[in-house]
Amino acid sequence: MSRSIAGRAGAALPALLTGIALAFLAIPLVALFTEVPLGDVPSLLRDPFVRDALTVTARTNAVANVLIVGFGTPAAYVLATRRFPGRALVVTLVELPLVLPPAVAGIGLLAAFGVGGLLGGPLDDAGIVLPFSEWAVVLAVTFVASPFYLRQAIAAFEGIDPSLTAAARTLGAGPARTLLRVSLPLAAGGLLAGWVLAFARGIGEFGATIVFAGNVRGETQTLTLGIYEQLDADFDQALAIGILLVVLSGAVLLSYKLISAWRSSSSTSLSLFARTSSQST
Amino acid sequence: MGPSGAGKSTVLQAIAGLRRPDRGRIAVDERAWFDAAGGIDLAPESRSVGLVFQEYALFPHMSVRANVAFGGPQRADELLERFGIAHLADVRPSAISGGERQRVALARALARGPEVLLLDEPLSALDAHTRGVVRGELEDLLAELEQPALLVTHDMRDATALADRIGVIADGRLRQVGTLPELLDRPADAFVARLTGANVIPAGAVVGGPSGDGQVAVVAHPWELTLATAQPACAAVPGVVHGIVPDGDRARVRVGDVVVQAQAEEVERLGLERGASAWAVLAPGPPRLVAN
Amino acid sequence: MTHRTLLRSLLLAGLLIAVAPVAAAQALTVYAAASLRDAFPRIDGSPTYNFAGSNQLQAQIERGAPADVFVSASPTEAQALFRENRCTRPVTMATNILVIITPKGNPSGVRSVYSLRTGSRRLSVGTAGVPIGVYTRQMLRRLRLTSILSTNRVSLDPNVTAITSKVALGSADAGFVYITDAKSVDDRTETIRLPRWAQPPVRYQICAVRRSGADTSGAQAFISKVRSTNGRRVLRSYGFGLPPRS
Repeated sequence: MSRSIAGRAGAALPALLTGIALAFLAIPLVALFTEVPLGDVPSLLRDPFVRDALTVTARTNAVANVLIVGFGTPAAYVLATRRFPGRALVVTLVELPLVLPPAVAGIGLLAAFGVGGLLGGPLDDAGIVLPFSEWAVVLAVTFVASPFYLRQAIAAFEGIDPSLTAAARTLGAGPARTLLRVSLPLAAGGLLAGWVLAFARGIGEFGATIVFAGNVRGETQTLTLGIYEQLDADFDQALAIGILLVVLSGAVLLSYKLISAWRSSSSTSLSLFARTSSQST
Repeated sequence: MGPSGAGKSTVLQAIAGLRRPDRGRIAVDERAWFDAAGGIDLAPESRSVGLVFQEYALFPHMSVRANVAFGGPQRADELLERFGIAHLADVRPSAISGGERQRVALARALARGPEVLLLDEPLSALDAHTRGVVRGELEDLLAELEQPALLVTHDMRDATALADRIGVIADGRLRQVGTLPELLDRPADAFVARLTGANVIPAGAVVGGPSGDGQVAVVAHPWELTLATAQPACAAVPGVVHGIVPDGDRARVRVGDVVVQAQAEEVERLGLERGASAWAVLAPGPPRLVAN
Repeated sequence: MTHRTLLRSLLLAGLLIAVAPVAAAQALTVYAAASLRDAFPRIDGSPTYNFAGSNQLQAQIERGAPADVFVSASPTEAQALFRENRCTRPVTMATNILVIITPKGNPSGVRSVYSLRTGSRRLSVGTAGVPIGVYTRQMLRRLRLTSILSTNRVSLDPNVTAITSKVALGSADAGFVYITDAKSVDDRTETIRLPRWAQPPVRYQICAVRRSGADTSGAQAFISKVRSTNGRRVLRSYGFGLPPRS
């Protein structure tokens, strides 16, 4: 009798621990939506303060994402397909911002691009002062978010069967055409996954931004910096901005899941993107 | 032709421009694609090859038709028809069988109108039954092909069925190039002989010969030997019967280390079975010798 | 394992988890305005200090933070807590005045607060909720210079530490801080005085936090230390002004 009860307790323990873990993750999200009357949220968000922060976030992240994908994709391709001395070191360097505390990233950016920093002199001569400017935010976001994209992109390109690119070359496609018609479509799934992570990290960036770019409304005050400022002044508005960011991130994640599901389900029909597993057939 | 790891695929890759040799020259007619001494090294896309990979390397994200058209859009439909895969045009490679994929790979390689066709172990990815069928199809294709084709395989049967001339490669070295009769009748060394399925029977030493001293062996194909139960008058090798494998109206009998191909009724008449003593008898006439 | 043993272990684990944080809190905890970060440890080095903007500290204490003593850079925050019965009656213990600081070399050529009228400089100013921010805006209103917050690029920073570091690093051309902050970074900055008549009344107020588990006797001892002769001497040496002796 007692053994079966203990047995049931033994089976219940993992379930209990899982429940606690899930609750821990879910409760802050739920609290966000319950602590402020949801009906007030639209008017709270219409406040010019929020609009300015949203505009800054949108502009800086758009530019940053273009830079990340524009520079990151060819860089990842080179790193994935070429072997050269010191390659392991370069890949580690590229992943470094991932493990760097955001504030440290901010200090590093200051030390490099700030007025008294490494490149401060040349920048000043060119008439460029980065702190307090939108470009500082773009730099901060790009710095902290690009490793998320690069890591996935490198893995995606590495996962492509080299005989496929070799086949393309023997069929008359130069390196550019091979990249465009074979490598990119096959890597697309991984690239998209990487971008989703980079995007989420970007719009959530705070530490590096506040240290490097400052908190200038309409210029460098992103949504996250706005939350920080409103924490003491208007907690309800801070909550509203938080809800906005959760909805935004959730929408991006959901879209990504939907796209992935659609692509993996269309196995025999043609589709724009290729499967992420690129085993040759 | 040669065993795995001999360097056969490397040769094809070098011709295609995917691997760079240290020395040497690769040319079609008089046009050099690679010349170490002259500093010529054309990129793969500038050479005119059609390479059929061992695992076919079909683009998984494109339809069959798109795959074939990748090398040459104008000839795609014609090739699909010729290889009998036009009905699969809109299907993805993952949804078709191994034999069909092989045909797609062939069609794709030919779509570009290459000067040279390169086939890397074209039949090894297929199951036994399909292999026989496809071998026949390949035979027909290669017969009507105008371009030279280079085929790489570890299977003697592929080489004998499909090739005009066979080059034997082992350990990265070319041992012998010749027609099949040449390889069978005048193998360059014991390795080539064994590869063609011949028996290599150690025969003793040569002292003071034109090429110096050394061990020699006699090369005898299974069908050139006969069986006897008592020591015959001519040259023969004694041994214990290890196995008898029937093969239609013939049988392959292992006597010691020697394989004899005899008529099945001959084996019956002699009453041979496993464990019995027997003699493998060489044909009369001068023996074939190789260094051993 | 019998079910009884299992239950007992779970209970014990739960108790230990609950007791642990209570057992950990031993030292006196002082939440004080950021501008006191250099002077207070000189008056008493033993407490655990949390220096930040007074408004942030007020919010934390309202949410139950384990502070024993609270010092704000303006009466607003301390009085708010007192009205909420979260602390004892606040007492003024120091005063301060505002100055402008610029990076060493004064690269943007600020001669006085009126120079900022030309606009297009990078300024570091406290947020609207933090005492330094409130005082700065009060002063600008008196000087009729509120417009400089729109004509210049203004970074709103949460406390004086953030402002001084921005100016010291050169990220900002000028910042509004207390004279005590200017002294602490005078090796990397230059100070520009502000008109005396426009200075707002800066009053630091100190009180003992009322909450279950608060170290009330330790808090009172600390407050006495701060208001003692020695404490006043230390504060003066850092540039603070002092209220008349009570």
